[in-house]
Amino acid sequence: MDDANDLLRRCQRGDESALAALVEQFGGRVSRLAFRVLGDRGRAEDASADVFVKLWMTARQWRGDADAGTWIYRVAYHTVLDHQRRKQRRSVAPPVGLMDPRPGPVELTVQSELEGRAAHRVHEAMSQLSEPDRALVHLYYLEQLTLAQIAEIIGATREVLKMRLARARQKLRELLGDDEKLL
Amino acid sequence: MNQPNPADDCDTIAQQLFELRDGSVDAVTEVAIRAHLARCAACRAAFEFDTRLADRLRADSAPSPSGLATTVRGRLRRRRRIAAIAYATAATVVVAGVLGIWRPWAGNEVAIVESNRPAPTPPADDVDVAALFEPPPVDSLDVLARQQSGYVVVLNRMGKE
Repeated sequence: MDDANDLLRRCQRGDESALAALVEQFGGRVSRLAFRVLGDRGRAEDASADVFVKLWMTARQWRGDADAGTWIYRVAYHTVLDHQRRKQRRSVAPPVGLMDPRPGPVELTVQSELEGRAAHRVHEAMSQLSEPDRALVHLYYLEQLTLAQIAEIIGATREVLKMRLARARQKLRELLGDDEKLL
Repeated sequence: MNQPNPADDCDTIAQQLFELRDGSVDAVTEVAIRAHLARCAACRAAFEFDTRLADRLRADSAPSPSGLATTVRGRLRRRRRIAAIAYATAATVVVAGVLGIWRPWAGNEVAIVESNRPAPTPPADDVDVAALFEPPPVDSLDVLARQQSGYVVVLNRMGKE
């Protein structure tokens, strides 16, 4: 598999096959982030496609000082939050947890009633976080990016990031209450 | 940043747990954090929560959409088409401007269209589009004006389409 830095450099030279390879490598991660923040499969796919179009259009802005993966996440983070803001401006949205009535990944992967309940509760609690905090939790816990990478992606200091993560963790624990033990 | 915790307070530890997990904490601070965890049930619970939450989120993550590459390709094609139309329109405007103002065929006549001579501006619907395809005017400003108006009408129609 080609190195993401090489692929992004080839995108800068207008090589569309490099973009296709980046979609292949990062499509899943970008889509997961979009789905986590937007809470709707259709909107997540729309936002994910926008991320890669924007990546293509702005590839020349990448100077190589940040790792390509971090750069891609940065474009994804801002694009996805822009989608959410546009949606909020257009209408008053119901809580994200109630937006997608179709069986989602939560329902598809449950292996037992207990596990299903835990998954549902986490999904519900996550939907109560603000969209930017939801993205942070996703990047830190699920994608397991380092604090340094996330700070670079969101453009915040490490100290601010730790504070926001600690607050998000605290809120999740409060929302989960006793169900925290189900995790 | 990764300093020992003389105060040893739970708020500080709660934030340092993120560094402990991602391996960016220095050895001295790590010892201090682990010592705190050994005696503080609340912070230990937070640390264990982090582990369980990470596992849970990974188990429930959504599959990636299959048609993403196709969607991206389609959107790029559409952007290129729009850009091509915009370039063509801009080029047409430039050419129309050059032909209308420079008039290289006008010999030694004054090259700039006389500003004190009001150009006839017929209503858009009555413009003779065929004037566009006439040979370059030799000395008639009327034909030139009709030609310019014709470009405007054609550009407007392109825009509506």
